[in-house]
Parts: sequence; C-alpha cells; structure tokens
Amino acid sequence: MRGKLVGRGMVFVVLLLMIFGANTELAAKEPIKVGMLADKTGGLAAYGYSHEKVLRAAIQKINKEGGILGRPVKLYVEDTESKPSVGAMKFRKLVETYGVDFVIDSNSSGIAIACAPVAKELKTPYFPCAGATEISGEKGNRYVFQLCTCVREECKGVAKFAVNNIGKKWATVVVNYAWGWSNEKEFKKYITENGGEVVKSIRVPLGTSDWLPYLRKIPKSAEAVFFANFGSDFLSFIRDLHAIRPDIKKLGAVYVLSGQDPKKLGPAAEGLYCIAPYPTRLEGLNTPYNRAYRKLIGVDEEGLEIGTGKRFVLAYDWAVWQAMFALKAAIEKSGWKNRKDTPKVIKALEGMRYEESLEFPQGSGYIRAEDHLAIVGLYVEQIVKGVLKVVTKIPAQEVVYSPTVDRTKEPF
Amino acid sequence: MKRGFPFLLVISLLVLGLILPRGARSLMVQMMAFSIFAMAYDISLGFTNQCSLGHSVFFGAGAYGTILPMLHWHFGVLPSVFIGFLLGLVLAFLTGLISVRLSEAYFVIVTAIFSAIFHLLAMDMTWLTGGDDGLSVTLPKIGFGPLKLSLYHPLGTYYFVLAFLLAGYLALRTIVGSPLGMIFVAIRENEKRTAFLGYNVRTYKLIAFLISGTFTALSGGLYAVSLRYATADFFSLYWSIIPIVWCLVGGLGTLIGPCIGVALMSLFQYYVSAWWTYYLVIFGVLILLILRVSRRGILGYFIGRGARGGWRL
Amino acid sequence: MPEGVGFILFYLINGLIWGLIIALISLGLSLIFGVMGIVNMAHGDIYMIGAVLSFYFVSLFGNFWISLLIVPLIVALIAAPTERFILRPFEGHPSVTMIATVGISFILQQVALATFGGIPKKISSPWEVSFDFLGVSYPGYRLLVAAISTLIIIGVWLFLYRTSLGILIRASMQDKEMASAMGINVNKVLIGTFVLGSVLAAIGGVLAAPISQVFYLMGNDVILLCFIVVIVGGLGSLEGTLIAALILSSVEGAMAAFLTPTEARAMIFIIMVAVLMLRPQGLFGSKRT
Repeated sequence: MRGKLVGRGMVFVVLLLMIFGANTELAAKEPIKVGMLADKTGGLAAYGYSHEKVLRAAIQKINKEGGILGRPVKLYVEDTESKPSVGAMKFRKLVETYGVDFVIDSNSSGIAIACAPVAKELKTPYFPCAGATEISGEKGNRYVFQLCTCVREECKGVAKFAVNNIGKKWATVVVNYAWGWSNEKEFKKYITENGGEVVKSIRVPLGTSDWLPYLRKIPKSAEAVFFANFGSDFLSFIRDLHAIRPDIKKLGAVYVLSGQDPKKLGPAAEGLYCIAPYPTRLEGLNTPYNRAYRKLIGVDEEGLEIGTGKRFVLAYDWAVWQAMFALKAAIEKSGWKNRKDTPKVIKALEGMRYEESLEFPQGSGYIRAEDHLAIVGLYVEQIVKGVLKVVTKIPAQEVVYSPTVDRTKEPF
Repeated sequence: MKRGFPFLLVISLLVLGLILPRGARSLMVQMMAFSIFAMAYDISLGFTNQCSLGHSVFFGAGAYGTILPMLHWHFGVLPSVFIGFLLGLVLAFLTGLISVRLSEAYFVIVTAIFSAIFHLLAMDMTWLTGGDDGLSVTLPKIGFGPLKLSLYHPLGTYYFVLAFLLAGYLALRTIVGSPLGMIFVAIRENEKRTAFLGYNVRTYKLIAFLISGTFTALSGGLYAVSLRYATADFFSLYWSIIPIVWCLVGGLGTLIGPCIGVALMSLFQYYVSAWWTYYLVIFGVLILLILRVSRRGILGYFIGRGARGGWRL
Repeated sequence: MPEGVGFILFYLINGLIWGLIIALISLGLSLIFGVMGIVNMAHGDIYMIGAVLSFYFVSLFGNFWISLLIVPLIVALIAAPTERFILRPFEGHPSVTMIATVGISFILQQVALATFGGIPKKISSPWEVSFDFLGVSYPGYRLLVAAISTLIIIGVWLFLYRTSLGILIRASMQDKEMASAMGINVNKVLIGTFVLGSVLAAIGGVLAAPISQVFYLMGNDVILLCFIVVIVGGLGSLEGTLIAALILSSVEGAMAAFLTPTEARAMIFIIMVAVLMLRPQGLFGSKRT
C-alpha cells in the first residue's frame, strides 16, 4: 500500500518537475523579432512577392532546427508600397509598434536610402537588398549592411568582359533615379579604365511607355548599349530598341530580366547579355548547396515557383536569404540577448567571412568591415535561343574596390 | 458640452502623447501634420469652392524649404520650418495670380498642370532635390536659451508638431470666424451676388488660396521634419488628390471634418495594410459608401442630422 | 547628330500617333464630363483594364484583333451598371464625382494587381513588319494604330451626328436643362454616354498595349494629359479635344527631338498654362459667364 503511494507520489513529483521545468524553458524562449520591408505593391510589386517567400523559408528552416541560441525567430512583414515615405513610416512601425530588433529588405534604393537614417535613429540593424553604391557609401551608416552586390561591384566586375567580348564603343541608357545614375556613372568609369568608350548617356524617366524618342538618340557609332531598367520599362526598352537598332549588342545591369520569361521576349532579346549576381537557372550553379536552397524556397530549375509558375526575382532573393543567415551567425557569435547587445552583433558582422554552403549558396565571401558591403563574385548571363545561359563567372577579387568610408570609427 | 468639446480634444491630444505606445505615437505625428494640410485645403475647397489639384506644389515646397536649409546651411529647425512656410506663401501667390481668375474646371486643370510641372522638375533636378530617392537630414537640437529640445527624443517630435497643429487650428479658426471668413462663405454660396455687393471676388479668392497654400507648406515642412526626409514624390499628383479625399470623406467646410478624413485614411493605411495587402480596395468601397450616404462627408452627415446650431467647432 | 528634316519628322510623326491614342481616350473623358459632370479620375484605369483584358484574350486565343472586338463589349457591360447604380447619385457635383471615381480607381488598380499581378507584361505586336523610312526601322504596327484610331474617331463622329442617341448625347452636352425639359430619356443618354466614353478609353488601352506595356498602374501615365487636353481644347467641345490632343502631342513629339522628352513635356505644360491665360475658355470652349 505504502509502496504504491510512494510510487504514485514520485510519478506525481516527476510530472510536476517536467511541467514546471518545461514552463521555465518556454519562458526563456522569447522570440527574436525580425521585420521585413517588402515591396508588395507599387512599381516593385514583383520583388516583394518572392523576397517574402524566401525570407519566410529561411526563418522556417532556422526555427525547425531549433532557432537562434534556442530562441525562435518571429517575422513581421510590412508593405512599402514601393514609396520611400511609406517605407520609412513602416520601418518605424516595425520597430515601434512590433518591437523588431532587426529589419531586412526593400529592393528599392530610394527606400533603403530613406530608411538608413531611421535605422540609426532607432538603433536597429538594417539589411536592405538594394544596389545603389551609396548605401554602403555616403548615405549609409554603422547600422546599415549591404549584403548584396552593389552597382559599383557589378560594373567593375563586368567591364573587362564587356570591352573584350561585346564592344568598345558604348551608349548607356538608364532610368532616371539613384540606381540608374549609379549604373551610368560606374559603367562609364570602369569601361573607360578598360579601354572602352561611352559615346552617349541617355536618362529616361521611370514609367515611360514609349522609349522610341529616347533611343533614337543613340549614335550610329555605338556598337553596344549598356542599360539599367526593369519591369515595364525593360519591356518597352527592348521592343523599341529592336525597332531602331536590331543590330546593336546589349548588356543589361542586374535586375533587368527580373520576372521576365526570356522565351516570350522574342528576337528582340536574343543575344542579350546581363549581369547576374546569381544564375537564374540551376544549370548555371549546379552545386548541392544551390540545389538544396532552391528546393527549400520552392523554385524549379528554371527559376519558377513550384505550384504557381510565378517567376522569382532570384537576382536578389539570395541576398535576403543570406542576410538572415549572416544575422544568425552574428547573433550566435556575439551572444546577443537584447537590444543592449546590438553593437556586439554589428561588430560580429564587420569582417565576417562565410563559406559557400546551404546558408550561403551564392558563394563564399565576406562582409567588409569599413563599409558593410558584401564582397562576392558574380556572373554574366546571355539569352541564347530563348534560354538564359551563364557565359562567364567573375571572381570576387575582380569586383572589389577600396572602401570610401570607414564605419568602424563611427560611434553607435 | 458642445462648447467644451474643442478644449477636451486639446487635452486628449496632450495626454495621448504621454500614454500612447511608440508606434501609435508616430502615427499620431503623421496624422497631426496631415491635419494641418487637410484644414488648409478646406479653406480652398470647403470655404471658397476652389478645387485645386495643385496643392502638392506647396506641400513639396514646404518640405524642401525646410530640409534644404538644414542640410546645406545648417539652419535650425524652427527657422527652416519658417522658410518652408514663406516659400509656400510665395508660390501660392504666384500660382494663385495665374489660376484664381479661371473658372472652375479650368482652375482645376491649371493647378494640376502646376503640380505636374513641379513634379517633373523636381524629379529631373536631382542635384537639388535628390529626385525620387530624396534627401535625408540630421535634425539639430532646438535651443530655447539654456533649454535644448531634441526631436529625436521620443516625445520631442510629437509635441513639436502638436504645437503647430494647435497654433494652425487657432489661426484658421479665427480667420474663418472673422469677417474675412464670412466673405469666403459668401463667395462659396453665391459668387455672383457677392460680387454684386461690391466685393472684389478675385482678390478674396486669392487671399483664401494664399492662406491655403501657406499652411499646406507648413504641413509639408512638419511632415519632412517628422520623417527627417524629403522626396520629389511629395510633388506628385497623389499629394494633390489625397487632401480632397480627406476633405470630402471627413466633411467639407468644417475644418474639423477633414481631420476626421485624415484619421480614417491614416488608420486604415497603417493597420489594414498589415492584414490585407490590397487594403485600398476596402478604402475605395468605403469612400463610395460614405459619399453615398452623405455627400457632405462624415461630419457633414452629423451636422445635417444634428438639427439646429450644429457643432460650433 | 540630328540628320535634319528626317530626324524631326520622325519625332513629329511619333508624337502624332500617340496624339491619336490620347485623342481617343480624351474624347471619352470629354463626353463623360460634358454630359454628366463626372470628373472621371478612373478614366486612366479603364484604359488599363482595356489593356489587361486584351492581354488575357491574346494569351487565350492568340489573336490580337479579337480583343479589339470583345474588350469593348466587356467594358460596356461593366460600365453600364457602374454608372446607373454607383455614380448616378453623384452626377452634377464635380468634386464629389472626382473623389468617388478616385475610390473606383483604387478598386480597379488593386483588383488588377491582385489578379493580373505586379509584373508588367508584354503583348507582342500583331504586325511585326517594319518600314525603313526617316532613317530608322519604323514599326508598321504604330502606323496601323494611327489608321485604326482615325477610323474609330470618324466612327464616333458618325455616331454623334447621325444616330438619334448620338444627337441626344450632343444635345445634353450643350444644354442639359433644355434637353431634359424636352423630355429626353435621360436614363438612356446617361448610360449611353458613360459606356461610350469608357469604351473609347478601353480601346485606347487595347491599341496602346503592344507599344507600351501592360501594368496595373499604366493608367497614371495618361490621365493627367487627357484632362489637360480636354480643358485646353475647351470644355464641351469635342472638336477642341481632338485638335488639342493632336497638336499637343505632335508639338511635344517634335520638341523631343531637341530636348529630352521630360523637358519637352514640361515645355508643353508651360505652353498650356499660357494658352489658358490668354484664352481662359480653352481653344474652342464657349465663353460661359
């Protein structure tokens, strides 16, 4: 009789311990809050869709594997409406209303530049996925990390290939805002350094439907055109250019082919080259890590979402994925517990090196301490018979340039 | 109770600044800045029937007039806001001279053209405006003798903007209640008869337009200060159309009505956009429903219902 | 670089072709405002809907010309009840209609975004031929657009001057009070006008899609220009709208040869302000007291 009581008592006590023990564990597992500025509507609506899916997939993987330092990651997503003023307001909302400690993304350079000072004011590390060089330059600050390729890297990397393989005399056609001007300036600088020449620079307002009047100004002496546009502008550009100069060679900046099906572009796009930090098709980077990454985010070998057939903007999706994992590594390395520890996370990110892996499928690289820019390699793709093929890989050494700022000296 | 209402509102705004959580407080700051814009626009549309589509010119000018001196010449916040205010006055005068003499639809289009011209120029002159990407600025502290107020303090921007909102409201309410205001209403009700009574209608319409444009610029300056940022997008047609939405949804010609419109739209954008990306569909339907029930907007509905006297706000 | 006359002529003709498309859309706007007092801020979005529907039909049937026939029918079916049940109570109050149609604009844009998506799409040109003249390969389709637009405009004119409904619409435009005093079927006139105006905008969208692109915000590109054309042409004057559209687009086109197109657009705006200052009623508008 007594034995039974003691036995039951012990079972009861053990049960109590388990329940209470579990509770205290749960209480310690306060989530790490991450905010996302997704461009879900407006001119960049195509980007927000895939960026959000990729980040969610990354966080799902992290949480499945036990979270970061045992804590689950919770994601809050807000729509920037592709407008800098809305983006800045939503940044504040993410931090002030939801209490996020880190913010990832917007694909728009304008939004990134508008949010940079807000990130510093609210002492929140910010990881935009936009290409303007100024983000890791004069318009950035110690809280901002540009973990994607920037325009200067892209132009520097491609210049030699362009002069040797595409043409020597160039015209540039860019959309009229920061990302466009950045491309225009950097391309001219590096093409000239490599023995080429820019004979005409043309700027076109965003959203122009008829590009014929602008493109008519491309001089006959130009053998090739370097262009920076995307979306509806790209479609108008490629169609109107073909009408005027079907012979001219074309090199596009990063993004130009975002969301487009090369087959549907027809002869107007045949032979077109474009800079790509990440190959659209699996064939261009057929590593086990890339295969696994693409499986987790749900795209097939052609870059289409499995199930819906929607085109992902793979050109910068990887930057969103890698930003999350870089952040995870930094939190683990620095032992970040709450906002007071944010300077530690920033210091951990400065100079961080990473190897090609499932977390960093784009390739090995490092985060430069002085300007918070990711130093990685990139690719050049070409549309051959309606199919995008990688034609060359440009290693990180050819892409790197001296930093223009030193954030490590900046106070928090 | 009706007399005491505005007093109650002021006290609530003062207290809310202290008790609201940070996110809601930032939203309030935006709503307060926009309320000045909405009330200013009401002077033009609600009180003198001038449906301008050009107010984005003043809004953007106020924003840049405030940001540029701080950025390039290290002016203080208050002087910069004042410069934005003055810039609005000058531009309202120049555009008003040209537009006010035109009748209804022509007035609308010419003001819209001004908005388009300024937007094009602002997007093009990126060396000055930073184009669509805009310009960010670090706000200096505001000094009152030995006291230094930093707008980066969580409560700083809120009370800064609130002060201007109260001052602006008092100014506009006084104007509207004065003989000048009566003439505005007379012009709205029957322009011909007012002219017949010997008033130079064009001059009074210009004055109303001036007041409207100037306070719109003030709103633009305050909004830029709250964001620490200005962009060429502030000159776009969107910012000309949105005050009309505020006024018509909230209630024209009441000064407070447009503020209700601001609150509704801002709350909608802030909260509903998080549940449903396509929140504007709901807002579009809401606009249609509100206008269907009351062409005079929400407040107009209650005033109409509220029998004699209505609310003297 | 400018090779003289050929160069300028290229820009002039390009401007003229867009002028015809803008004329189509603006005629619709002018009718809607002139007869019903609706300041249709959603007019550009009807243009967009025309292009979006055309995209779907081209994907389904592979034939562009079918969409030119079907899209107007679909738009008519949507426009008629919209006028009768949604906009009718607001007519006669311009600023209210302005905001009501802003509401409709929000709805149309977001529905297009939710269904069609945020990625701009291309409709291939139904006529891939190019003609070599003026120093470039000029797309034949653009010339075809000019021809079709002209035919439609002539068709609209015949409708307004030769059919009874058309005459009623014109009468209502010139003098609303008189028209209703004479016992005209107001319902028919109002619905008919709104449908006609919307269909014109939608056809503009169908024609423009292969030479611009299909995107849920494409309406914003044209709406302001169309309003300006209607006013500068003179409210209540369809001839004025047509002429204003053609002259403004051609002049802007020609100026784009020397200036950047952005500067050319700004110059056009300044010229229009000047026109309105000298002639406040527009080119062909009547002097109203």
